[in-house]
Amino acid sequence: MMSVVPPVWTVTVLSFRTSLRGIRTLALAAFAAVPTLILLALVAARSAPGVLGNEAQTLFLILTLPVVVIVVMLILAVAQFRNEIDDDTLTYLASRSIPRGGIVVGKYLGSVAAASLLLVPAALAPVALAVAAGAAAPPAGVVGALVAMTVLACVAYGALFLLLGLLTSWALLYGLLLGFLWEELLRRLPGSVPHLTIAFYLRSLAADLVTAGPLSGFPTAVPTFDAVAGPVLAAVVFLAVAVAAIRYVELVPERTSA
Amino acid sequence: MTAVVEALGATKRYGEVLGLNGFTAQFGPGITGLVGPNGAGKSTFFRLLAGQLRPDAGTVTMLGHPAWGPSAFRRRVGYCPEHSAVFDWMTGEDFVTTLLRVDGYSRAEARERTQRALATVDLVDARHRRLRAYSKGMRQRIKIAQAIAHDPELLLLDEPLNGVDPVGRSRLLTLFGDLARSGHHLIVSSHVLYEIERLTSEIVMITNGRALAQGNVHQIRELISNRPHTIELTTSDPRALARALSEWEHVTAIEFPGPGRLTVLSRTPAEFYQRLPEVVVKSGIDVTGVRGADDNLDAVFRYLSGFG
Amino acid sequence: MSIAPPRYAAESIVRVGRGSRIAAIFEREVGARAGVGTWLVVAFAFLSNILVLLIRIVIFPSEPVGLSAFSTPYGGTLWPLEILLVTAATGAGSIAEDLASRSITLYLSRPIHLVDYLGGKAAGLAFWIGLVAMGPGVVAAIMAAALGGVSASIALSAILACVGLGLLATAFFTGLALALSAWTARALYAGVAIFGLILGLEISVLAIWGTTGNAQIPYLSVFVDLQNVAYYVFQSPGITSTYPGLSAVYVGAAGAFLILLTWLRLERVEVVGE
Repeated sequence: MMSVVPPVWTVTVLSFRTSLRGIRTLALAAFAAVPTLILLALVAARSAPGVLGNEAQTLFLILTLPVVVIVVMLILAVAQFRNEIDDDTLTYLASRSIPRGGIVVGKYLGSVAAASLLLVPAALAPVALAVAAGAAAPPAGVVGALVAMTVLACVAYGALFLLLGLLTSWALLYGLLLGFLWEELLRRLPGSVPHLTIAFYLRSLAADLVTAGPLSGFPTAVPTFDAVAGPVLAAVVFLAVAVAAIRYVELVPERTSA
Repeated sequence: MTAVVEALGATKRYGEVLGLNGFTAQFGPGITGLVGPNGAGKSTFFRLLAGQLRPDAGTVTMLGHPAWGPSAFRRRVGYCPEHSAVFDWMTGEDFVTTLLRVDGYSRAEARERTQRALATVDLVDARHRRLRAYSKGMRQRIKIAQAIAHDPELLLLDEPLNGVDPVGRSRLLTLFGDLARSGHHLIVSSHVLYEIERLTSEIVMITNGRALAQGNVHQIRELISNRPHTIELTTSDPRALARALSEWEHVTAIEFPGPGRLTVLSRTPAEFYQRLPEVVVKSGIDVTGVRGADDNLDAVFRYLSGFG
Repeated sequence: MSIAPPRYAAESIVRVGRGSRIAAIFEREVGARAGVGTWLVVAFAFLSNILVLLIRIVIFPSEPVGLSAFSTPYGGTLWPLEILLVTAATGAGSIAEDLASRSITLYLSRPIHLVDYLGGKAAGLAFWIGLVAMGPGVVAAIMAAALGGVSASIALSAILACVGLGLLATAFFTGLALALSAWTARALYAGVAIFGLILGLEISVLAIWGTTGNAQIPYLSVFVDLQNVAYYVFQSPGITSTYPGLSAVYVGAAGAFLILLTWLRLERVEVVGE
């Protein structure tokens, strides 16, 4: 039986290339650079170096993670299936011998890779800028935490939004509700309710990895293993549902003539 | 006949609209034309074959495999969709190569097959151009290229000549004929009947989601007994010939469409053709042309569908 | 014998006025945006804001219940988020879908001006956005007066204040939706951009304001500007800025600028086929 890996790899590369082309990529990169631009504004306003260092991390927590990552992932992940179904180009992949689940996995890997390429530098740039402007080197674990949180966010949100894009043409609305309302509102509720959000685990990871500064201040952190396992498990579940669902989903635009 | 593609009571609904309504047909080896007017269900059937749609009832099988199900057998199938959407940002070469690699071919083999496919559809010169710069005819040809590049046993071609110029059409029709002669099976859909007639006389007619008729177009015509056959004759003395022919019981009507021409309606054309030489010899009337005016797909379709 | 060809005279075409043509586009836009998602957002906005106001004014009133009690929903982030949600749900596809389907060429090939097309689209969007921006407050004021929670004059003042504030918010968010929808043929991108830009702007402004303490920075935040205006029109204490008039001017001017941007964009857009 022919290996399924090379076709899945081809779909991954195709998805990666599709995700990183055109004006859309420039717009996403510009949006991802907003935290860096804000820090640049603070540098220009001659803020104290100590303030810059903390601001760089705070911007990640209040802007990069809850807004920039969600926006970028929502666009890239939903587009994997929704755009191709609407454009009727998915037919070329679906009519090939690659298993449908392989298409899901390939598109997921490609979109996560593309998003990580855009977002990891965007997450690190403010910290680097702060250091360049005279701030002290960030505390131990900050760089690792930023990278880990960003990649894990791409992994988890990517799977969720990919699933939405596959299942419904209302993926945008549901993605906005889940990404901005669910994640932000439930995270602030007491008890175990925040455990139902991906953001809870990401912030816990920061609190586990970083010993000082804004990133370390999450009050109800869970162990590092749980903080990583949570988003990964969520991604695995969403992806498994997508792999199962694509066997039953009809991959045609909503309006189809006979 | 072993069916290459078989539909048994295939039904597909779009809300309240029936795209296919208990469609039953067998598509045998060689080229089979799927003909029907716009909205008949041709593209719906192709989408069922391509695995994009699931039948709400009935079954659709290709090469012995259900069309909606595991996809490993699709390496033996090539599909050229009706719509012209492609990955605009890719070059023609990139487009075909990538899809071959999705089928599991190595990079080197995919490139080699791509070059052959592009040469077949005469797009070698345009292979480095992005698809967004392709004309409609070029897009049609690149779609055919990706459908044939992996040398599939079965080709599903949904309106393959849409937007192609006359020279291109002729080349593609020749290509399809060559593919059939080399052992491939083709199902070609079109609402332009004379194109299908050039390719094959084996047809499946579809209208309103149902199969109207299938088989050899001439045999189908024979079965349409409530429509006398129209035979056009060119002769030096139409009226004299008409007097002779009017005595035949199976001749139901005679018309004089113009000087030197005669149109005869006959219930039994076989008998007509058999007895005509006898009349010509006895009467001494010159008959310089005889043509079955409605022994063709267009007439068959009009008679069966009620559109004519 | 001579034969003369028949004379054909085309009937004079009676065209309705521009207003009717804009109305046709408006009706179409309102209908096209009336999806399940839109109704869900509208229903949620009405329920949440009316509930909050009735609890504040009728069920658990604090003495005295004046006009300022009606400012409760507008002081937080729920109201602007609801407007943002309905803007994304209805406005994302407004022009984007016409560009994708190339039906914009059908519109503009009719005897209408580009400004007619934009006007109809803007009016259609403004219907839904205004429904969320103004509707709950107006309904709550009427209900509060009917239930005896406030006097008729206070209810009337609250209605006028809701309408004024709502119109300002509607103008801005309609312009935002049209501007972003005109830049892409994909409603998905426009919808996410609506959310991303506003939330990104709000958080950025708060971050810079918090660090620099510059009192001019908050004027860049749409939410803060609308809050300023809300506190002023509802005569509520807790004004965060000294110049609500300036806030109103900024928001209104931004909305007008965005609509101008849309018009400039559509003048230059090329809808190219295959």
